[in-house]
Amino acid sequence: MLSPALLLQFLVSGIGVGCVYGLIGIGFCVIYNASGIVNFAQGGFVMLGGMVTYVLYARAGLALLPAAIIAVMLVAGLGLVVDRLVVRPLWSRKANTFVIILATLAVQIVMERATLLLVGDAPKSLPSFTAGGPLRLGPVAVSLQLLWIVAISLLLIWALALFFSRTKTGRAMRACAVDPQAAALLGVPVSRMLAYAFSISAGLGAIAGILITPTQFVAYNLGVPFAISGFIAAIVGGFGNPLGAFLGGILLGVTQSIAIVVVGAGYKNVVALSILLLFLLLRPAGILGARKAS
Amino acid sequence: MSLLEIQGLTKAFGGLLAVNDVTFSIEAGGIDAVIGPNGAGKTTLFNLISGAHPPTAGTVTFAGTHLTGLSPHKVAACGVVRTFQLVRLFGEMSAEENVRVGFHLSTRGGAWSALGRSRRMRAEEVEIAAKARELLALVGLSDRAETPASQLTYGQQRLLEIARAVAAGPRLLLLDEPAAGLDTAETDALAEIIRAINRRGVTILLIEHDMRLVMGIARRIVVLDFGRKIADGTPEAVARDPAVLEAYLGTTETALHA
Amino acid sequence: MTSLASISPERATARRRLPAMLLVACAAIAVIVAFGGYFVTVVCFAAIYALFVSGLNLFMGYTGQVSFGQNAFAALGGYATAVLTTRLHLDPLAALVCGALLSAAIAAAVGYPTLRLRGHYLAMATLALGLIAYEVAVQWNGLTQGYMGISGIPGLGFAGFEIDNERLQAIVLLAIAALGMGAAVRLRRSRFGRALGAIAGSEEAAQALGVDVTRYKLWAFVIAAVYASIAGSLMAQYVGFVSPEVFGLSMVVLGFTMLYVGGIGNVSGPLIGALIVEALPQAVSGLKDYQDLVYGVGLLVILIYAPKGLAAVDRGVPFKPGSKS
Repeated sequence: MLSPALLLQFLVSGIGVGCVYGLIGIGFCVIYNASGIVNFAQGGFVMLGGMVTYVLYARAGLALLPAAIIAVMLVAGLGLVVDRLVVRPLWSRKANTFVIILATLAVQIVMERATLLLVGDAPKSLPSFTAGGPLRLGPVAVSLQLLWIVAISLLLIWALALFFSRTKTGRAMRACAVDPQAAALLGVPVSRMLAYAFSISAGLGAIAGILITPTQFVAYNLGVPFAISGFIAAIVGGFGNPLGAFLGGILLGVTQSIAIVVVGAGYKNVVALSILLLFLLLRPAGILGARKAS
Repeated sequence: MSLLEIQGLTKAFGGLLAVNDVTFSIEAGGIDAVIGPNGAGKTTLFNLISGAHPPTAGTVTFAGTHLTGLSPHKVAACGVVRTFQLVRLFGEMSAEENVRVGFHLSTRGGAWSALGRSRRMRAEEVEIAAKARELLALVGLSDRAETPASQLTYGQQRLLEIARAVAAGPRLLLLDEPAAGLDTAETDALAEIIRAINRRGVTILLIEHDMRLVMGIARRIVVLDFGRKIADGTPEAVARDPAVLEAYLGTTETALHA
Repeated sequence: MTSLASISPERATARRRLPAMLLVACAAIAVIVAFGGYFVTVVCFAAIYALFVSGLNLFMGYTGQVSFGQNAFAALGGYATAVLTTRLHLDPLAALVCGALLSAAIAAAVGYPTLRLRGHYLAMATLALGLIAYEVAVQWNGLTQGYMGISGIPGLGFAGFEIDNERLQAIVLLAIAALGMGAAVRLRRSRFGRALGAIAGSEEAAQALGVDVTRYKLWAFVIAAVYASIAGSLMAQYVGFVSPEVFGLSMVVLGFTMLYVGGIGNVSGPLIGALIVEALPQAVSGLKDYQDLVYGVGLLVILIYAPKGLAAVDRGVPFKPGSKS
C-alpha cells in the first residue's frame, strides 16, 4: 500500500534524477540544433564525467571540486576530439543520417570498452558534495545531494540561456540552428559552431554524470542507459527545445521513480525504453512540440 | 461519364488555402493541361489526385471510383499514375530496371514466388524486360538501358521517369512539368512522345509552364491562380481570357501565343 | 533517405564478375575445412554471422531502412532454442522453427508501427528494441536465468542425430549460410527485390507506381528478423550456451562492421565481412573486451574512409576470360 508520504518521497527523488536526465537531454538538443545530428555517444560523456572525476579523486588524490572541474574540461575536450575526428569528416561530405548515427554508436562502444579496460568493471562512486544527513521537510527526506543537483542544474540552465541569448557565439549557434546556409552566408563559421556544440554538450553530460554519481554509482556500461534517458527527455520535450528537454527529463525521472515501485528496480531500464517507444510511436513531436521535423 | 471528376477540391495547410474549391472534369482520350503562375496550387492539385495528401474538402472520382483519401499506391492501382516535378528516379538502378519497376502492378508475386522461381515467374521476367526495352525505345533511351539512372543527363532522366510511369499501365497519366529545364529541341521531342503515349490510349493531364508546348498539344486547359480555378476551355479561349492575362501579371497576349 | 544499395543486380549480371574477395574467401574456406584445426571455429562463427548479416543486408542494403535492433531477434531465436530444447526437450530443428515463427510474428507486430518512423527516430526505436530484448533476457530470471544464461543446449544436429565432427559442422553451417545468401540473391532479382530497391530509391516514386511501401518494408523487416533468429538458434546450438551478453550491443556493432567490411548491398558482402572480422581476433590475442574496442575503432575507420565498405572497392575478376569490363 503506497502512503502519500512514500509517494512524495519517490516524487522528490525522481525530480533529482530527472534534473540529470534533463541536462543530458539538453546536451542532445544543443548538438541537434547545431547540426541535425543525434549524438548517440552522449551517454558516454556522462559516464566519463563521473568516471574521470573518480579516477582523479580516488586514484590521484585530488580534492573533489578540482577533480570535477578538471574532469569536465577533459570530457569537453574529448567532445571536441570526437567532433574533429569522427563527425566532421562525415558531416562535411553530407553522409547518410544512418552512417553518422552508426559512427556515434561506434564512438560510444569505443568509450565504453576503453573505460572497461582501463578501470575495470566494478562500479565506482563519489561522495556527496557536502556531508550530512538529509533535510527533513515534513514526511519527506531530501538529501543534500539532491539539493545540489537541482541548484546546479538550474544554474546551468540560466547560464546557457544567457549564453545563447547574450553572447555573440551563442547567437551565432542559434542562427546555425535555424538556417545553416543563411548563417554561413552571414559569415558564421558553421563547422566551428559544431565544435562548440560538441564541447558544450560533452561538458553538460560530464556535469550531469558528476552530479548523479554520488546518488547511485558509475560504471563503464552506464553510457547507453544515460543516453536513452536523455534522448527520452529530449523527445518528450519536443526534439530541439532545450527547456522542453529539461522538463521532459523531470517528467521521465518522476515517472520512472513511481514505476519502479510497481515493477521493481530491475526493470528500470525497460520502463525507460518502453516510454521511449511509446513516445516515438505515438507522439514523436513530444509534449511541447518539435521545432524541427526529423 | 467523364474519366476524371474533381468536385469542390480544397486543401488547407494551416491557414493557407493551397487549393480552393476547384471543380472540373477530364474526358478520356485527350491531352489536357493545368497551368497557372507559380504557387497557384498545381502540384498540390496533383498531390490531391494521386493521394499524396488527403484533401480538406471535395472529392476526386476516377471512372466512377472514389479516389479521395486513397493511399498513393491504391490510386496507382486504379489506373492513375503521376510523375514528379523534381525527378524521382531510382538512382542506383539502371534505366531499364527503373522501367521494370513500373511493371509492378501488372505482375504478381511477392517474396515466396521470388524464392520459388516458378516457370511462370521467369517467363514474366523475360516479358517485362522486353516491354521495358520497348518503352525505352519509345522515349529514345534504348542506348542508355544499362546506365545507372543517376548518371543520365537531366533531360534523359525526365524521359525515363515518363517511360517508367507508362509502364505502370495508366489510363490517366499525370505529368508534372515534364518540360522543366528542357531546351527547345528536347521540348519538341517531348511533345512527340506525349502524343505517342496518348495514341496508345492513355489520357494525359499535364502541368506545364512552357506555353509553346501547352498550346501545341493540349485540347483543353484549366487555369489556376492562388488555388482557384479561373478559366477552363480550349487553348484559344484561355489565351484570350482577361482573367488569365491578369493572373500572369504583365504577360502579354503575344507571350501566350508564342 | 539516400539509397544504400551499391550495385544493381542488373549490372552485376551484365558484368559477369565474381568479386576477387569471394574467390579468395572460398579458397581459404576450402583449405581450412580440409586441414581442420582452430580456424574451423572461425569459419563456423563466420557462417553464422554471415546469415545474420545477410538479413541485415536485405533490410538495410536493399530497402534503405535502418535497424539497430536485429540482435533482438537473434536473442529470440537463441533463447527459444535454448529454452525449448533444455526445458521441453524439443527437437532442435523444431525449436529453431518455433523461434523463427515467433520472431516473424513479433517483427510483424513491432514493425508495423515502428517502420512509419524515419531517420534517427527509426534508428532510436530499433535500438530500443534491441536493448529491451537485452533487458528482458537479464531480468526474466525464471525463463532465461538472467546473467547466468542457459547451458547444456544440444549441439548442431536434429532428430536425435548430433554432428560431432567439427569439420562437418563447418560444412553444414556454411551450407546453411550459402542457402541463406542464395535466397537473398533470389529475393533481390525478382519483382519483390525490385520493389525493395525502389523503396530505397524513392518511396514516393515507388508508391506512385503502385508499390505498397508499408507492406514491403514490413516484409523485408520480417525476413531480416527470421534470418537473425535462425542465426541466433544456430549460435545457441553451436556454442551450447546462451546469455544476454551474446546478443547485446556488441553484436550490433559486430554485425555492422561485417556489413561494412563486406560492402552494403553486395550479396556476397556478409560472408566476406564475417570471415574477415571473425579472423581478426586471431591477430589480436583473445580478450573479448579488446575485440570490441578494435571493432569499434575499425568500424569508425571504415565509415570515415571507405564508406561504401571495403568490398565495394574491389572491382572483381572476370568470370569468363576475355570478358569485357
